Amino acid sequence: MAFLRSHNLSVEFPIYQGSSRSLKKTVVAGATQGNLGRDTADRINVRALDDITLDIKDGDRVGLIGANGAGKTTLLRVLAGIYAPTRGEFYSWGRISALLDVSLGLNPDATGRENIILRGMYMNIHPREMRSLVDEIAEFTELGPFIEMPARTYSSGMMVRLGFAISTCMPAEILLMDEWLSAGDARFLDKAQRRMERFVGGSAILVLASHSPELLRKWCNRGVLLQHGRIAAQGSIDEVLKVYIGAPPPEPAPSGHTKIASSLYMARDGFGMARDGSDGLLPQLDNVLRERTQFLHERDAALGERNELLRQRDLEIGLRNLQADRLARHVHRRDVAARRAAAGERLSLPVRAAGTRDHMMLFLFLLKAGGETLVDIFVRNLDTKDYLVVENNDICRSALGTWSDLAIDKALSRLQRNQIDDLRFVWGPYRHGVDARLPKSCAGLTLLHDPLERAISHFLSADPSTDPAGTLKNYLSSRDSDCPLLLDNYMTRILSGVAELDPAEPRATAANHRRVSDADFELAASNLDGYTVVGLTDQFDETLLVLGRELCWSLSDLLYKPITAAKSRAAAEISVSLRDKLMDWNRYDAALIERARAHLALRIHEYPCFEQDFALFRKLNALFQQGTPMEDLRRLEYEGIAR
Amino acid sequence: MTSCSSANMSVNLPKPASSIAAAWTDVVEGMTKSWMWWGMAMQDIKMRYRGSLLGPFWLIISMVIMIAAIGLIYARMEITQYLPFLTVGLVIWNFVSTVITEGRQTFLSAQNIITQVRLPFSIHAWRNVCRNLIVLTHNMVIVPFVLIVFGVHTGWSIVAIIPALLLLTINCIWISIFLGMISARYRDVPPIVMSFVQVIFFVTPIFWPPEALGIWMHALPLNPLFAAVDVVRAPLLGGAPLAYSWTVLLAVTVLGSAVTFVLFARLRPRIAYWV
Repeated sequence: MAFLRSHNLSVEFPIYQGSSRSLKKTVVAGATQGNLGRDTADRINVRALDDITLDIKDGDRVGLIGANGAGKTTLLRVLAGIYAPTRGEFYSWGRISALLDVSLGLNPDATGRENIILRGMYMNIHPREMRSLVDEIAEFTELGPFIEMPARTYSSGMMVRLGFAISTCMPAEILLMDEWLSAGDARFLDKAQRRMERFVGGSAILVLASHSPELLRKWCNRGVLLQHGRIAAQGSIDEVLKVYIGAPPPEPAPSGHTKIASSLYMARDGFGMARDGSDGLLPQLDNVLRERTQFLHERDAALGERNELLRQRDLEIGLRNLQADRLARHVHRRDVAARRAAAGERLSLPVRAAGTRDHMMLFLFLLKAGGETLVDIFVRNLDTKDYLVVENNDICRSALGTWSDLAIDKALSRLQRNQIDDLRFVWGPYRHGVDARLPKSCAGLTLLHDPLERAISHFLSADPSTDPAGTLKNYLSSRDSDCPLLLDNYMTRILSGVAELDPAEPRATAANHRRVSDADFELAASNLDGYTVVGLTDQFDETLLVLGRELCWSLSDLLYKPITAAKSRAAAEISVSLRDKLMDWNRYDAALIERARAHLALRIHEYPCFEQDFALFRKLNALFQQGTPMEDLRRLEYEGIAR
Repeated sequence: MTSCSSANMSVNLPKPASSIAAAWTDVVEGMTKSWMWWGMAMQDIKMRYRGSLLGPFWLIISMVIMIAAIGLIYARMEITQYLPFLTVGLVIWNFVSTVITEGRQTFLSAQNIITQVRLPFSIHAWRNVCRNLIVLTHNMVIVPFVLIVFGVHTGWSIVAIIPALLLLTINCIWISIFLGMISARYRDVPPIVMSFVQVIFFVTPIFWPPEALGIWMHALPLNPLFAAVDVVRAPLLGGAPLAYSWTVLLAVTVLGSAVTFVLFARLRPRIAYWV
């Protein structure tokens, strides 16, 4: 049975070495700002070990870990009974063999054989006894003929082998080893481990101080980490090594310092220092401060987290308010529409509005901007779900021709995708080859011009006073199906009664057609029924923004994706260069663009905080292109507006 | 080897032995490990003369040279009386003074051992004394030659040197421990002791007879070193030591041992820190 037990053990080194004692003391005190403890006799004390409580039992293989000057060697010396603790208690039981210094008792001038005897003497082994062990030791060291040579001819590795072999020649119950063992090579260490196990036996104690994690892992099952003379951690060797390797090295004393210098270094650090009779006030103060700092850090972190939560809550509330606001406006607008519908204005409003060229442009913009969704919303808001309206006039013929194609393609696409069951086309005299685009036979598609051709021809060529429009209108309104009806713009105008046609002329003449267009402009200028007129400009984003405001849409509703050329026209989307083309085409009518611009400028002028909204919209749109989720965009929009 | 005390399996460990008991154990253990301090002392001697041609014979030669030099120059009386007187005096003085001067280093020179292994501290004192006893034995070889050559008749009084040397040895032990401790603690002490020993050499009747002191003869009992030399020298020269020599030496032995033991008991745990 063997054990090593210490309770609150402390070791203090008095520093009064050297002949010029008082002079040295003065120098030291000056250099360290009097930070060192002084006892009643005015000595300087350095605490090398502080409050060490250990219980090492049979079978423990303890690894002592710590930086230079942490107190490993001092602790080993206490365990070996060399240093009596200055405070606290220490007990040990069992035959101790201490291997603290490889050079102990090794005389450089004596031969290896003599040194074995000599060192044995220092280890309390009688030379007579030692002589019987010499051969066994010599064999282990593998020194061969060198055993008869003076020890000064040995390499350091040979010295280590010799020292280790002698120290472990007698079974010991407690083996204390300092880090010099690390000097051996791997093969020696393996051999040493086997020898050690044999001599220490299964039940005895090993305490090993080392810097080598591999050695410690291999030899030890327990670990004790020393820092500034205190036990920083103890437990299984792996845990303690993790702590030691993970922790930043506690400012190692510069190499080459004497033991005293490194002790002073520790003392200046505020650790390991104490005044005789007191109980280490400074370390306690340090602990309190450290704890307080830790607490403050944690509090700050908690506050930051709470602030973040509050901010998110504010954001949620703001978003909800915004949505509620939008909803309220929509409800209001729906109510207005419902009231008007109840008052019998149902047909007049949408058809007339749809008939304006500017609304057609708006439609186009929305199609480009948001695709089907926006168009659907727009159509729903205009209460014109029964009608897809095709603009067709000579001012922007090409553009609108394209549009017509698109509208047809879109309608056909919807038909093919079974989104609508039935589709009927009705158009006026300006077909622009539309019929060529239509498939000759397609399920669900009805080309109304065939059954209506005569009626339309009659209508167009007949005298307006005979009111053929009424006939047509009656036909259209009396249809039993609610399938989409594709009317061209000309027909729309006539049916809605927007344009006053010259009764003296046939309706299909250029003059009558111009009259229809002019009526559109007049209608647009008068801003009938509060509907917005959006000009044909190259200021697409601005237009969209103004439009969005008029329609009470949030900015995120207006976000659009550029349509790439790769997407097929069958998907009813327009090509990416369409806008540019549109603008190009629209140059044909400088006056119109001028008017539209002026109108837009006016709208922008009336728009509060347009600059901010515009910048925000641009930013949101850019983010939208990068695939940012809609929720985040809405949040950003709110944050931008709230700011 | 127990470190502080023997303990058993129980949790309630006994209190460490008192410092007095520990010191006593230390002294006794040190004494009984004679093979250890003998080996150390022999090693010291070997080390001192390793590589030299004559080895330990240098001890004798240097002593002979010193005796010859002083004997020829300072001979104020009959040479047949003076040389034996001087020889025995110098040999004893050499022993005592070397124990004192080397006693300063009892623990300091063993620093390497003290901080590496736990051994009884008195071992180091024994080592010091033993080493010098070996030297004394070498030097003692000169004495019979001189006594025979100069026809000194010793007689049975020679038996008295046995208790005398025993007493001297005991004194050397406490001096080694005492000076060893004080020197380790106060580094000013070694040079002071060195000067002191040199002065004592000249005021102690070694190479001149006590009668030369004149009126200072009365102060002679105050010099314990004279008593130490006298109790060995007088029997060898066939005479009897001065009346108070034994008394002084005994008193010093008892007093010194007691004081040293008390100090040793108190300071023993600190020695390892001092060296």
